[in-house]
Amino acid sequence: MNLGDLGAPEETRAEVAKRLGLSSALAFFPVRHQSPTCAAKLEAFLPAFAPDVILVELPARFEEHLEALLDPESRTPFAICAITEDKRPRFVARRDGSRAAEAPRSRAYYPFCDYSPELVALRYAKASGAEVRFIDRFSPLPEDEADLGEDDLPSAEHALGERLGQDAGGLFGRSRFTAALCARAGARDFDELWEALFEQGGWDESPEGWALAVGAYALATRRTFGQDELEADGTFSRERFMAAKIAEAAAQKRKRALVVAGALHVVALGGAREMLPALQRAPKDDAEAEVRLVPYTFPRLDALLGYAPGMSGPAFYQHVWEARAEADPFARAAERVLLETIRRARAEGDALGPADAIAALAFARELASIRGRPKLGRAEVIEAATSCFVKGELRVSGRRVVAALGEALRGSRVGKLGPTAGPSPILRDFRETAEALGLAPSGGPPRAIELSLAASKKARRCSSFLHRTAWLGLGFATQVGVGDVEGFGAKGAEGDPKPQAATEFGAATERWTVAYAPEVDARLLELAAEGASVEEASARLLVRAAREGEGRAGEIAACVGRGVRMGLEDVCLRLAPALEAAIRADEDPRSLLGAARKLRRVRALRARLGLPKAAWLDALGLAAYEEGTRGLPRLAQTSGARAADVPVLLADLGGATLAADGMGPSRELLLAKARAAREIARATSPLVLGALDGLLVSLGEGRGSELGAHFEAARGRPEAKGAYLEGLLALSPRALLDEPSLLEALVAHVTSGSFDGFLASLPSLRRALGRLGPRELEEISSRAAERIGLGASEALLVSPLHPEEVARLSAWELRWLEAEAAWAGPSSDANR
Amino acid sequence: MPESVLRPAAEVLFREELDALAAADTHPKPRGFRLSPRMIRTFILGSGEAKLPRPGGEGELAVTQKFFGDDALVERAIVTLASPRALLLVGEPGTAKSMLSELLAAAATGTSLLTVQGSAATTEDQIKYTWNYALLLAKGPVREALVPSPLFAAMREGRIARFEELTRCPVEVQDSLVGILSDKVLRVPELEGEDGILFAREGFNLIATANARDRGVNEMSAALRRRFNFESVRPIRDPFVEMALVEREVQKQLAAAGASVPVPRDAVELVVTTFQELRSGRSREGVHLDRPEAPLSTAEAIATLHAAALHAHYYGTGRLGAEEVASHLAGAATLDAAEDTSKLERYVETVVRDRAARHGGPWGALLEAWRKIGRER
Repeated sequence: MNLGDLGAPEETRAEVAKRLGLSSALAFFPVRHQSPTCAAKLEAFLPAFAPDVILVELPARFEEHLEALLDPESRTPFAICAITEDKRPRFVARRDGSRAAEAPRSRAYYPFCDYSPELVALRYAKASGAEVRFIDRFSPLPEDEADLGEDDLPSAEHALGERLGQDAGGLFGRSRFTAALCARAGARDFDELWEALFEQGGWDESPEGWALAVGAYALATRRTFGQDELEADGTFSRERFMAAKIAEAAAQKRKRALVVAGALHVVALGGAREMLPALQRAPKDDAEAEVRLVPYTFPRLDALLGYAPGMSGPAFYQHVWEARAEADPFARAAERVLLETIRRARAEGDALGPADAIAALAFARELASIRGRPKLGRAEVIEAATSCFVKGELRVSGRRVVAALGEALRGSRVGKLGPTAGPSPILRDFRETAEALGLAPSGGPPRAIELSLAASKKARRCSSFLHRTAWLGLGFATQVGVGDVEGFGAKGAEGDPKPQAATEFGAATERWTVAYAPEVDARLLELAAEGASVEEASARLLVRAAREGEGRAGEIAACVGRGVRMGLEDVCLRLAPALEAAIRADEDPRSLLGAARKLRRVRALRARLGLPKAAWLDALGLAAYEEGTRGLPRLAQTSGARAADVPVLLADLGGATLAADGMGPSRELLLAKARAAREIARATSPLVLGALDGLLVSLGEGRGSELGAHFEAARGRPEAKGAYLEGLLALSPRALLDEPSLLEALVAHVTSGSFDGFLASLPSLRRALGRLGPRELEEISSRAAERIGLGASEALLVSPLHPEEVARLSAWELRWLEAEAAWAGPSSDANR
Repeated sequence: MPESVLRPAAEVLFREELDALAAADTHPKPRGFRLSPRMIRTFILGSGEAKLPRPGGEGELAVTQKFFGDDALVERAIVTLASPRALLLVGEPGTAKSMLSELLAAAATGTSLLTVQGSAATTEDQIKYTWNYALLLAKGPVREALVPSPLFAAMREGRIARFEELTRCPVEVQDSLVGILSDKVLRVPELEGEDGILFAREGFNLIATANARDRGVNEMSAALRRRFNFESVRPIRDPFVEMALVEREVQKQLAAAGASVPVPRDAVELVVTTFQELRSGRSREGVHLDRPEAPLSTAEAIATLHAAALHAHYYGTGRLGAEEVASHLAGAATLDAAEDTSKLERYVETVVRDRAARHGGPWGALLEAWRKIGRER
């Protein structure tokens, strides 16, 4: 389908030409945000039209940032961020500590990249000396058009930039005219249609021809919407404001004015040009908002991950823009993306080479040809790469290629702001919040802080803030005296494998040290593109970490735990669907039970923080426990070093079932699966068999005679008996006392087997018995002594110390004896 | 073609459409192809409202849509066939891989019959060539004694060959394709001179299919995988498209069988919705479901409804009702694994029961029929 195939009748095209008035003193140029073809057409049109005034569809109140937008030291992408007091709960402190510090706020981003037509117009104005005016009224974007954040954990299709079958959003995406054109052109959605018609399809058009075609499409689309609809979504209100601003500019005599605005607006505004002189001045745009310029990133610019009204695949379009002087910039962009995909996929182990790139490029051209498209576009690049590079089922074998392709299309470019923009919003937010919470950084030695979470709301807010700074790796706060037992540690700086701080779940009191260092500001500078506040950046990095978990339930559950720690309840809620999907898809019982254990601890933490019961958390925990329980037979196949954590997981599973608090699996399910697993474990691992026996005993199901028999049957390796006992006692510490057959078997092993065999099994037996308390050990040794006919005073001494401790002490004792012997000099025997 | 033929080849069944498309084709054709890629696309995806002059000059005809659900997949498959790489269609059973391969071969080079059926017993001879042993003994290794395989014939005539269930063949047998697909040459060492080398003519290519439930494509050698472009064929996602297709095909099959059983829309919806939800593992209300081992494809939905309608025709009232649907649903769900029955039972006792309670209607009838069958079992 070509531009000429739009289906607009001749009178519509004439009407559009009249409305745009591209050769009149007041011209209207239709644009789409982040469209490289549009930017190129506008770039060519501007010097030919030579406007004295350029009127841009940006909120008038943003004009104060014009200088910063055009700072020569700035590098795209960057965005104007408007913060309004609105819906989402967060706390941002103010210096005066007023109650407004807790007002809910929301952010809207207006991103710019090199191929933003608006930025092209602004740069031209600066170079030519033309006057610039922003003509739109500020109206916070509705929820679905605002910056979405990277909160959709993308599937393979999303990573590719596909959103087939979904509304693209906006009037174009929703219109019946678009749907009809898609059907005619064989396009799957508005994005593909737009690209086919106006990006690669419009590249060879003249600027005026391109503008007329887009105008015709916009006018036909606009006619499919009723007046009520356009009034209700605020379109009319904004256009009335724009018209008044245009009227002010048009009133200046002998000046050529160019309006650069969205296509749907210009066809309406141009149609009202006769009425402009009669309009009153535009009212002052006094909507309350805090406006800042912030660095932005290509991943956020991607329509799928961040800026919904934009286009998907910013790196692809950046390549198009950079190659705009060439004959076919789309082919050049495709080539670069395909080569980049191959480079990335090869780094991950895929055997692809330049021949594959050549084949894919030829494939993309043929695909464009069969679809009647004059140049190949993003959709053809995606399909060519998946057809030619993926050797197997897309969802199974294509994971690496799809990820590499998604990254190559999206890019990772991060914007930078020149000095005119001032300090970054996140730095300001950090300082203001820290000061309001009494945590203002000073250059002195680290300051110790103790927070009683149960006692004070402020302490909990401090805790959340400190956890966020630790997660971001600012080097500002360090939690004292905890280990990262759950893997909920800090994100830290990119590429830094060491956690910046650790966190624990049990304590109701947290101890921290805080200290300022220049690295804090440096790290905040790095994070400027991640968000305008510490909260936003923390949330974004958390969602990214969850996505990097690649669907592993344990990883995502750990992120939920971190989120609760950081007070990011809404982010946790957004992670819930991905976690549920991961639980359903995860076939590794170890990962599932690990995730369930984490979720259980998250629930305990929430209770300690005084947060209300969360049904979603209970449901996820239950799902993870149930799926993990169903996988117990698979878990029973674990052996060797991988089996070491099985007793801990089973102990938690048993605890959850016995607690009967709605999160654990049913006793019947657990019993059935544990019995089945035990049959498998007989042949694989004595440790796992012992743990499963212990689990059944703890549920009141184990039989004493079986335990003794299992202990006796544990042979093969010297440590097998100890391993069995270790697994058993981990879950059922009283088994040796309650099951006489087991004690009898243990005593028989110690007394009647070969001495060498006993010595070989001794370390593992000591490790197993080391789990017991002194009283239990004393009782066991008394009973054992009785069985072998010894008196109480002759009872076996079983050390209550940990086996490693005993080994260390023994080694120390040996060294001591050697040293003592050395001091005593040569023995008399030696002298003799 | 005699009337008794159960299933004519695609090029025979759709000869009129193919001739009309060839006559109207003005687009560039890959060398050796009978139709241009655009016309092959039209042949498979239909001409919509557009009509073509009927060959022979009387009236017009619209090209029917034959493959549903993924137009872009068809375009990619056509482009692959016009490239030096072969095409491998991978997917669950019943996703119309073989039908698509048949249509592509028929439209591109005029025949869909040059087909090798892969199995665990397939040998290299069956892929390349074998001998007429009587002639071999009588005359020695001469061209006349050589029995060409379908692949050999496709190379010789510049046609597209089909290889069904490629991954069911032993890996070493599969690898006999590497040289053919790479060099487009087949050597016959027993024959001397020019007879000993067969150069593929323009138009030759290969469409293979692989069942995702069989031995995976990952067991193919890397050398062979590189010779293919892979396309995953998935079940139809859009329930309305699937319902329309199932309804059309069931009616067509019933007409061919001479069974005049009306197929109510409700019955189609019950089967398609049940299959779609079970294979996705989630109901539209968000209930998590255990996925059965059985593929529950569109083809299976057609077979289920067809069997249910025949049941009604021969043993019932001549009206396809919930009871026939319920009894054949159970049959479809137990094709692959006995535990699938309990998964279907859980589906009925959760999702169907809930819908029956909320909406009644066909879901209520299905629940009632299911329970009645259960009592009788």
